[in-house]
Amino acid sequence: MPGEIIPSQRILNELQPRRMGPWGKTWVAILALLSLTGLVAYIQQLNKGLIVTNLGDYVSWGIYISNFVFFVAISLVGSLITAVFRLMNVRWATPLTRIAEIIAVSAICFASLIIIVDMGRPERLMNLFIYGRVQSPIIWDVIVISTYMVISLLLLYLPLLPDLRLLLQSKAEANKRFHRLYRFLGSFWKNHPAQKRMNEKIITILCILIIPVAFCIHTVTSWLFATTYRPGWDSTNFGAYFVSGAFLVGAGAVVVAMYVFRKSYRLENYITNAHFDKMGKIVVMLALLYLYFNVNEYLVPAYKMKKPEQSHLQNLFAGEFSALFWFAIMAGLVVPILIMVFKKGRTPKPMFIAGLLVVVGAWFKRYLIVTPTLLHPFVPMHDAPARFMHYFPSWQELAIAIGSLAGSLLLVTFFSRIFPIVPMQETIDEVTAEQHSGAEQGKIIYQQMEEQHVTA
Amino acid sequence: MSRLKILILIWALATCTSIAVAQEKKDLVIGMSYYLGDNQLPYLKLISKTKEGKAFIPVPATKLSVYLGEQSDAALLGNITTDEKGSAIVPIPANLKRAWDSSYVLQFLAFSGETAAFASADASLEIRKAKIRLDTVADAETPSLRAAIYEITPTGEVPAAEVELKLVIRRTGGDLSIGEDEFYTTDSTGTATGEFTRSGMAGDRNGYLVIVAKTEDNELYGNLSTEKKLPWGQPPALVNDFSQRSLYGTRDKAPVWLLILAYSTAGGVWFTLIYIISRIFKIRKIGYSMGS
Repeated sequence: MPGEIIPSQRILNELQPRRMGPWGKTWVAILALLSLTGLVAYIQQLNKGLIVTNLGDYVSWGIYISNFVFFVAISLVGSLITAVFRLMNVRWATPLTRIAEIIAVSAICFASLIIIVDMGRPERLMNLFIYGRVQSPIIWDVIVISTYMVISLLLLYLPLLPDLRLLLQSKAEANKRFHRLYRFLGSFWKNHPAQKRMNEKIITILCILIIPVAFCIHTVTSWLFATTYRPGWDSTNFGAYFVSGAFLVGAGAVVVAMYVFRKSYRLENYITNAHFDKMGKIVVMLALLYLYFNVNEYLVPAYKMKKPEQSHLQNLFAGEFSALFWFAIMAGLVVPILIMVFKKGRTPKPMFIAGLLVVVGAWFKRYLIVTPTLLHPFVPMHDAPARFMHYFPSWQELAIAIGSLAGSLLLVTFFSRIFPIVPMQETIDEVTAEQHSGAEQGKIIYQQMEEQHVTA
Repeated sequence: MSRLKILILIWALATCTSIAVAQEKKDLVIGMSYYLGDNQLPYLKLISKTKEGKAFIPVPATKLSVYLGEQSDAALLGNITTDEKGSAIVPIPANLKRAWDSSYVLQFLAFSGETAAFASADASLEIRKAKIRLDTVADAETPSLRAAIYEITPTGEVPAAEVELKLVIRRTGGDLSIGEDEFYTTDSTGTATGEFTRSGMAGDRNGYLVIVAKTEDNELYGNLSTEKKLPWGQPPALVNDFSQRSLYGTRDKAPVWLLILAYSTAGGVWFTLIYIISRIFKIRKIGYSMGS
């Protein structure tokens, strides 16, 4: 029950990874099928080249780069929940830290993969390191993404060490087959005070380190666009616009994951309604912030209506992309705000729907940042084939993009099957501390009563 | 007369008037200009236009027949069609060389047949054969140019007096006068002299300027022009910063500030990460030492 003091053994039993039920297996089968379809499409792309895509001279960054930007954005959530909340000593977020971190790791892994997919000739990746220019934002992005991936992996791994010991001690049959993996990863963890102290210290260092790196990853990704002179990208607002959008989509993803894990692992005692309420307030704040940047991003150029921007903006507001644009704004921002601004909306089910809308809207928003601009170059499109004037991804592109999204979800699902999705040791420590502080408080109250009795 | 007859008369009159109005064709105006570039290549430029309100509108796709001297197959310069701007060019064909050489006053005739929209039209242009020459003035204090126009007559070249001409520098997108005056007029010797006051003007890579002497739509001689390349300009001072360090330079030309900033930032972060990884090994060591 929420608010109830849960005994340690019960925490261990409730938070241990469990076997998947029929729903879980179906979920994994669907994701695996989608990922395999993506893989088949990618093999075809490798064999025949980027000709299988609908990318061309104008839209050279299509659905792949939209997907990349989406993954990069969603990965920011790791730094938000884990680092910012930990440094601010926000204890209520403890059950959400691992969810946030695995989403971040999974997203950043697939962001890296999708860039390789977009390259067409993956064996030429090394050329980036051999011949890359330090002046290029692409090189900055490569450096910052790899750095962020390492930090995120460490932030996932280090708080997991005490739980690995608990898992190794556990006699639960469901996890016996993973004991070799647990031993490989954390057999050295003995809960020794020196180990704990050192672990705490390096986690704090990582939390401090990940915040500027996370800001860099999103700013640099935005600079890939903003340093290219094109309508829609020629903005000094882009860094902040991307960071705020990333915070929002990441928080939305955590809300969705919170609901799914709570439901499927019966974690109502750990991921409570209060968590949804607090996350709801955070998402509303982030959505309002992102809305503010959106107003900046579109109102200012729309007010000036410079000739090259005009057709791009008209296409977004009332043309070819208007349905997607207004869906991304309304469903991805306005409706979630309207749901979560009310207390009733900050309960699990409405929050799940709002979170889902935020994530889906965010994906389309990235598509709208990439594609319409590429279809509106400053130099008019003359003597180009008609198919270059429009863009719709080929089935291979769609399969790879959907496959990558499914792959990232599969990674999160497998992780939650092998490792506890809510930190076990941290939860036990917090509950023990709560019990201890409760007893201490009781002693103080008793002493006060004694004193009052003596005085009387 | 009965009322019915009056009505029929009015109807017949109205119908006839409307047919007459519908069949009224617009007037076509043909403009013709003669050009001679560098005293070598003569050609004609024709423009077909029509008046709408107070403005002349070009008439594209007008078929025109142009003749030299008389309207006959032997004197045909060409059958042409005007482009979307209503203009067309007719070179002088080689088979008319003899007629051309033996004439000193040239008469050009242009005809267009009747079309659905326009009535037939014709135009004529009479030009006296002439030459234009351009030289520098050798003994002048300031650089100066002398242009001379000579009419070609059966007795030889005769100076053409009182002809207005221009002395200009050819620039991208237009011509610039060589001095303060826009026009110069030839004297009794057929020459006009102009001072070049545009010193310091950017020329080609060797400092050369193209100077042109030309008449514009002169009623006797048409459009004559000749040009000369003179070293009176300044070669452009191109600053080649290709080999300098810059954000747009090659990888070995990155700015030093960027190298310091990028490497120190990345180095600082990765140094911290390496330290953290070393602490993980330390934690392992503590754990294994306890186990043993």
